Amino acid sequence: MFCLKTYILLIFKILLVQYSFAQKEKNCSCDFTKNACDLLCCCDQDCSQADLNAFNCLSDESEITENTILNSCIPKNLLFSSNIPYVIKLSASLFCVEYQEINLPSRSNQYYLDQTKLADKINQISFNNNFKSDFLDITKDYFDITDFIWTINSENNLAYLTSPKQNDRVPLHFMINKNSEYLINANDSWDTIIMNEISSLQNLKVISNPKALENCTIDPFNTCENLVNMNINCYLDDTIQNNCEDLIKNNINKLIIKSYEILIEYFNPEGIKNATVNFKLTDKSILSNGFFRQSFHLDFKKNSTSGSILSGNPGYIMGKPVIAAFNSSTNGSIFEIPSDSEKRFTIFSPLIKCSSDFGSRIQIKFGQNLASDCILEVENLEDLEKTCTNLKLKIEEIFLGNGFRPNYVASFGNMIEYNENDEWIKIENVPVVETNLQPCKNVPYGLSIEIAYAKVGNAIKPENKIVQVAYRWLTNELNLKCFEKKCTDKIKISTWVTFVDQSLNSKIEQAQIYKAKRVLDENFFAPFFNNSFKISYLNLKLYLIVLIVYKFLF
Amino acid sequence: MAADLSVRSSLPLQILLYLNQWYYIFWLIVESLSFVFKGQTLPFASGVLAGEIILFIFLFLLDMFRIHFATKGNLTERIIGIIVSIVLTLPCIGGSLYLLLWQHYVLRIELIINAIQLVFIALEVILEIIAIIVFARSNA
Repeated sequence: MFCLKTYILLIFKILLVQYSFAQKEKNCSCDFTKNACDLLCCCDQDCSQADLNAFNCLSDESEITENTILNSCIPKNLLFSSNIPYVIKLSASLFCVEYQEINLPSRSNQYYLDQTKLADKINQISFNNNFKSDFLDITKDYFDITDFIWTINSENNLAYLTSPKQNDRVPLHFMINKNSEYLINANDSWDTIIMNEISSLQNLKVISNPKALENCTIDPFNTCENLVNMNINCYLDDTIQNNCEDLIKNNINKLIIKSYEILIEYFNPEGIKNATVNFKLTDKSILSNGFFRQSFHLDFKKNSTSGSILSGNPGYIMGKPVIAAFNSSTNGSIFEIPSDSEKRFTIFSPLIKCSSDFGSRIQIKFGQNLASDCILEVENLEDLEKTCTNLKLKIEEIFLGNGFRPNYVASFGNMIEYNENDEWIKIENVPVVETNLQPCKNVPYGLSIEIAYAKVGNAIKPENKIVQVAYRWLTNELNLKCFEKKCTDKIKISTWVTFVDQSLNSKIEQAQIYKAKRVLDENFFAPFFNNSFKISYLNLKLYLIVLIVYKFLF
Repeated sequence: MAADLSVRSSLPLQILLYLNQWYYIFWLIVESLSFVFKGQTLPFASGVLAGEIILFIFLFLLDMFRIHFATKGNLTERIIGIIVSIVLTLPCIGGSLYLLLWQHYVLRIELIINAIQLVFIALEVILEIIAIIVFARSNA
């Protein structure tokens, strides 16, 4: 009986003492912008309390991402069997469980709750002093990630924004970016419906925060000052058009929407500050079989955000731009990094005619293999050697661009912030053109950019590090079709970007993971009384109370 | 007619029940520490860990009742106490088997302690049946 009492007391003590097995990581892997708050990044030191409230950050949570895969591991010899629905990974000495924590239950509830009401896309609401809505919670002080993006039109119709695909309409949420691609049949009526929607967005205003309508007394509410105008921009083949509405009305059967982009600027807790919709249109006649891919993007950006964007923190994240720099000095201390991430490391676009224009180049993104080719028309010159020399220079311009030409690549995604000279990787074989000897020999027609990377660090949460970058040039002797000293020809030039994973199999050592073992050497009572635990007067009082209660009870 | 004063209570059963009582305190400590370890290091679907802990506490109380009735029944030479103990044995076996085979994560230490517990239960059931036969004969 004495043992039982002691045991109960011990359990009570365990409940009283706050301890943590897991050490919080010092690195905030979702912090991509220097001196600016990143969207939905709860561990970002730059975020204000208003931002964290709007992100619905939980107190013990370091970051919220939609698809965060977590790992839990224990030594394999401790476990006999498991009957779990999770993904199990077994290594030499560890039993690991891969799982996903759903941190946003309220958002998913909201989503399914309103699914039934999606048919009533626009709900007529009579605005008066007793304004109430089942959907828009006007009692809230600020919008958070559980809320829709509410709009109001000139006829006082309240609606929330949804994704554009007709048979896959889902509500869009405040501060949650969305990127989708849809396969559209241009001959189907679906796309025409979206085209009609463009004109309906013309007079739309976005409700900046739940209280925005509270002090509006003017009827219609659309004229209320607290609302944000929805700016509509139309681009026809990358050229901005003056009158979007007229363009669509007049060409409703001739144009298609290639890309539909909503950009929303916010500042918490005031809410939405600016909203812009960009439609990129193109002629339907270019489609060969009537099908095309339509992309949809919803991007939230903090109002007045200025800060260099990182490509990972610290390791690269798949799909983020590869950071490249130019270093002209021999000692390797001065690195020139363009502030515009789109100009850092690029290849030419797949066009019918080759172009060295920097604006049309494609960004190299981490982990994404690319291939591109184009046709280069040889200029008609009488001197063949001069033709070849000029051609080589032109090809070099096409391959490497006529602007920024990097010769170094950052090994980690956060190198802009933590610039360490040792961590820059020199690109091998950057110089290409030798114009002096036999210019028509060794004309480059292909460039393969090989980027080797490896997973480093913690085996459970590895970081991607670029370890080697090399240009491999494909050359050939140029044989032009010449007729009476005039040469005309076309050359097909190609480029590829290949990412190669060179990670070695991780060697997991038990001592690296089980830090409790190390603590136990110093402190017998760990983890119940570890180094971070300090006996305070409050704790002592609690123990005394527990002891007195215990004496009375038993 | 002289009264029959001979003791019919089973000594092996009593020793086993006494040892089982102490073993059960040890089982409680080890099993609860296992739950603390599993709860801290491994993921559980919502409600599963709580359900397993409730089952574990319920199993402890049930087993204590089982041992209590068996002890009283054996010492007082009453069949009813032992029968109640045998009836309580069935859910106790089920609970132990769950912890041994079907819980979310079965640690090696749990395998050992629950297997020992099942051996205790099996031996006790055999001795309890023998005790019932002895008591029934003497009453006849």
